[in-house]
Amino acid sequence: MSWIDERVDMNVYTQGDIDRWVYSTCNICSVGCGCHIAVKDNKIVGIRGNAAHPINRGRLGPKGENQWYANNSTDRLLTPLVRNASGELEPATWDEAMSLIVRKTKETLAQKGANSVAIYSTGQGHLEDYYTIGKIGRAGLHTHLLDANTRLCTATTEFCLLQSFGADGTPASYDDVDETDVLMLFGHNLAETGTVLFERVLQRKKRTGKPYLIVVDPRLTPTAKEADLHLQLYPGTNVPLLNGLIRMIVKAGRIDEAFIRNYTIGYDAMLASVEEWTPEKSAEATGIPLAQLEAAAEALGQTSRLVTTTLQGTFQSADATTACVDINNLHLIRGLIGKPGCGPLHMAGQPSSSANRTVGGVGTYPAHRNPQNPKHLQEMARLWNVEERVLPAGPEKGIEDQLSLIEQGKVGLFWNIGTNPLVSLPNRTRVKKALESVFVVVQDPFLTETAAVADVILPAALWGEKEGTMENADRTINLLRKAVDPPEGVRSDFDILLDFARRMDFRDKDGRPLIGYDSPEACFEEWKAVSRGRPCDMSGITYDKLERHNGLRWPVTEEAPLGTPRLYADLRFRTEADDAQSYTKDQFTGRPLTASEYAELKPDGRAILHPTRYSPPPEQPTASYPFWLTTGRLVWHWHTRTKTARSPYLQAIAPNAYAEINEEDAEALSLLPGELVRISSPRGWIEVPANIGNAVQKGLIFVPFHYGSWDGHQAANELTADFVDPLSKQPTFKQSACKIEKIRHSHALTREDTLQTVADHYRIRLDDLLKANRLKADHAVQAGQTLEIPISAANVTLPAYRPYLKQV
Amino acid sequence: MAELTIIFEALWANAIKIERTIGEADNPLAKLCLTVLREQKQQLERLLPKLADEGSILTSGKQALSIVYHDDELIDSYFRSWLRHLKWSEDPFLPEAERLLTVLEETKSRLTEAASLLEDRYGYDAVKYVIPAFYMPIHH
Repeated sequence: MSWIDERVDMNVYTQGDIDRWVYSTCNICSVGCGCHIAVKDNKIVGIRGNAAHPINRGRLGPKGENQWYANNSTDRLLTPLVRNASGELEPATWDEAMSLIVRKTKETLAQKGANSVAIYSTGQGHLEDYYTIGKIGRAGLHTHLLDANTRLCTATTEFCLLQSFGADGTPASYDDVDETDVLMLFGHNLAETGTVLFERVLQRKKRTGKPYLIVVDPRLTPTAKEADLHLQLYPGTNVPLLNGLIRMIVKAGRIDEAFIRNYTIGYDAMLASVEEWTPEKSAEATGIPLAQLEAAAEALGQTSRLVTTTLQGTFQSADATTACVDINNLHLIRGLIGKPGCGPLHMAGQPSSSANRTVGGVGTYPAHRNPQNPKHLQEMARLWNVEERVLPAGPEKGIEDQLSLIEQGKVGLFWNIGTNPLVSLPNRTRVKKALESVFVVVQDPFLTETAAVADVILPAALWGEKEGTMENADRTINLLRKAVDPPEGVRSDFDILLDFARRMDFRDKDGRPLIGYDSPEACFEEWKAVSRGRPCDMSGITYDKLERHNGLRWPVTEEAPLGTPRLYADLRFRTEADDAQSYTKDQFTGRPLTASEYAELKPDGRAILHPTRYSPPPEQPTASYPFWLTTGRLVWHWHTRTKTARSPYLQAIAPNAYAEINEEDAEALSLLPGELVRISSPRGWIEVPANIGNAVQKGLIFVPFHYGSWDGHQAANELTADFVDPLSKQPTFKQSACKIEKIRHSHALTREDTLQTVADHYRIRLDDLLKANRLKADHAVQAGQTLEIPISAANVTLPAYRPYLKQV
Repeated sequence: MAELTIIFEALWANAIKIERTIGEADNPLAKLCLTVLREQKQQLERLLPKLADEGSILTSGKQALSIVYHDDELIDSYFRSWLRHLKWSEDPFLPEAERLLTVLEETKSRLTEAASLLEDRYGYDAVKYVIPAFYMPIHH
C-alpha cells in the first residue's frame, strides 16, 4: 500500500467517555474509507477513521468526518406522511402508509401492466437493499423500470466496461494507483470528490516522484493545480482529445502488437475511426496547444505502467461512453491492463452505487447477467425459484426514458428511495411536472425537495442505524455494523422493502414467500449463491471476514479467499457470448446488438476495441446563450446536501451556490466579485453571486449543483438540458448553454450627487461603483446620467480543503 | 401474414417520410435519429420479403425484426430529445418536427399491433427475446 503511516481523523462531540466504537464504513463518496462510529447513550456522537483499513489508514474527508450530525438532526422524519384530500401531508401509521402503497401498486399493475411501476433508488444504500429491490422488481413486479441516481453517477462506468470487456467491474484498483508510473485523472476532480484517495496519491508522489500526473479538465480545479500536465480542453471535447492521442500513439509505433493480436478484436475499425483526428485537428477541437498534446502522447505512449481514472467530467459529458471506451482502447492497444500499476479505473460517485449495479438493483440482472440471454434468465429463475417466463427480458429504462413514459401516461407509481431527484435531475421543471402526474412514494430520512410531489413519505433509517455492506469504486466490499437503533417510528430501507413484499404477497413458484430472508446478513448469504461463478463472485465472503480483513475486493472465492486486486490478470475477458453481461451496443447509436450480431463478432474471451466516432454536445452556446454551463461538486457538500447541510460546520463554510466566471468575461461584463447575477438557460434561471477568477476558462460558467431549495433560486438543474448519452443514458450535465445578466438598480444622477455620495447611499465601495459603470476615478458627474448599482454582493471565497499540503 | 406485411410496409413508408423531413438537420441528436432511422429502414427492406413465408418469420426474420423494434425505441427517445432542443432554440423547423411526432406515434402503435399478432401466432416465449417489453400487450 502507498500509505506509509496512519493518521486517525476523528470528530467526536460529547461530554465524558463514549460507550463504544462500532465498526463501519464512510457513507459519503466512493473511496470506501473504513471508520468507527462513536456511540454514547444509544446516540451517535462522532466518528473516527479506521487506522487498520488499507484504503484510508485512519483518514477521513471533510464530509466523512461530519456525516453523523445528520443522524441527530431535529428535523428527522419520525412518522410516515400521507397527502390528504386537501393536498396536505399529514402523519399516518406505517400500516396506513404501506397499505396505501400496496393498494396503489395493485391498481396500477391491473390498469397499466407490469411496466407501470418504477423504483428509482440510490447509490447510498446497502448492497442488500439493492439486491432486494432487484428481486422484488424483477420477480415480484416484473418491471423494467428499475433505475437509481446511479444513472447520474456511474452508469457510464458500467456501459463502457460492458462494451470493452464484456462485464462490469473496473479492472484496476487503488493498489494499481499506488504502483503506476503515470496516472491520468480524466474528468476526475479527485481533490474535491475523493479527498482521501487524492491525499494517498500525493503522499506517494512527494515521497517517490511518481506518478506523473495528467489531469484532463476544462476547469483549473484543485486537482489540476497539482498536475504535471493539465490538459484544459474545451467543454464536450473528450473524444477529439482521446482520438487524437490514440492516433499519435499509434503513429509513433507505441502499441503492443502482440497484445492486440492475441487479446483483442476490432483494431482496424477502431483505428479507422481515429484516423481523421490529426494532432492539428485535435488541438483545434479541444483548444489544447499542440505541444501539450505531444507531451501527453509521449507520456502515455512511453510508460509501461498507466492507470486512467474517470469520473463525472467524463460520465456527464456528451459522448460519455465513447470517451470511456476510448480510454479502454488506449489501455488495450498498449497492453496496459491486468498487471500491476495498469488499467482503467472507471470510478463511481457514490459510496455504494457500484453495489447497485453489481446486484441488479439497476440495469442488468444480478451478478452481471445479461437480460437478453435466455440462459442467464433461466439461471435466475432457478436461483429465485420462479418461472423464467415471468422474468422480464431486455434492456432497462433509464430515468430520462422513464420520465418520458410518465409523460405519456404509462407509469402509475414512482417509488423514490434515498435520492432527491427534484434537485439532482437535469431540467427539474420538467421532472417536477412529470412526477406531479403519478403517485409518488418518497422514502427518505428527511423532508427533501422531492417531498413536494410525494403522495406518501416513508421515514428511513440513516447510516449507522442499520447493518449491511457497500461496494466502493475499486470493487471493495465493506461492512457497516449497526451502531444504534433508528429513532422510534423510523425503519431501514431493507425492512420497508421486506414489509412491502410481504404485503404484496409475492411468492415463488412453489408458493413460498419470494423474499425468504429476514435480515441483511441472511440476504447477503442468498446473494452469495447468486453471485457464484459470475465475475463478481462473493461466495468467499462473510460479514465477519469483511470486518476481520477490512474489506475484500471481488471476486472472493475459494481460489481467491482474500479477493482480487485487479481483473483480467489472465487476459481472459468476459466476452464469451454465454458469459457476457451484454451483447454490447452499437458504439455510435446505442442500439443493443442481437445475440447473432454479437456472435458474429467472435470476441470469444478477447477484449473489444470499438470505433470512437465523435458526436458533439447537442446544445452549444449561441448568440442568445453565449456561454457554456457546467455543473459539479464542491469539496464541502454531498449531492443535494440532505446530510451535509445538517452539519453546522459544512453548512457554515459553503452555505450558498455561486457561479464561477472567468475574469476576462467578468471584465467584459464589468461584473464585481460576489455581485448577484442571473444565469439563464432556455429552461430556467437562477440568481447567485459571481465567483470571479481563473478556475473556469473564458466562455464557461460553473455552478455547483448542491443547492436546490424551493425557497431560493440557486438550483443548477433549473438550467441544465436533459439530454443523455446514447449508450449509458447518463445525462449530460456538463454541457448546456446559458447567459449572464447583471441584476442592478439604476440611479439617475442629480446635480447634488457625487460618486461618493451615490456609493455611500447604496453602501458600496466607490471603487466598485466606478468599476461597475466603467468609470474613471476623475469622472465628471453629469446630472441626468444613469448609473448602474449592483443589487448585492456576497463573499463567495471558500476555504480550500487540502490537508495533504500540510504534509507534502 | 398479410396483416404483418401491411403493417411493416406502412412502417417503411413512415421511415421514408421522416427521413425526407429531417434529412438535412445537422444537430447531433437529429443525426443520431437519422442514423438509426436509416438502419431501421434497411432492416424493414430485409424483413418485408421474408414476411411472405409466414411460417418462418421468427427464424429467417428474427434479427431484422428485433432491430426494427429496438431502433424504434431509440428513434423515439432521440426524436423527443431533439424536439426539446428545437423548442429551446426556437428553431423555425419546430412545427414541422412536431407534426412528425404523430408519424412516430403511429409507427409505435403499428409495432405494438404487430407484436400482438406475433405473440398470438407464435406464443410469448417465442417473441420474449425478440420484441422489447414495451411493445408487448399490457398483460405482460
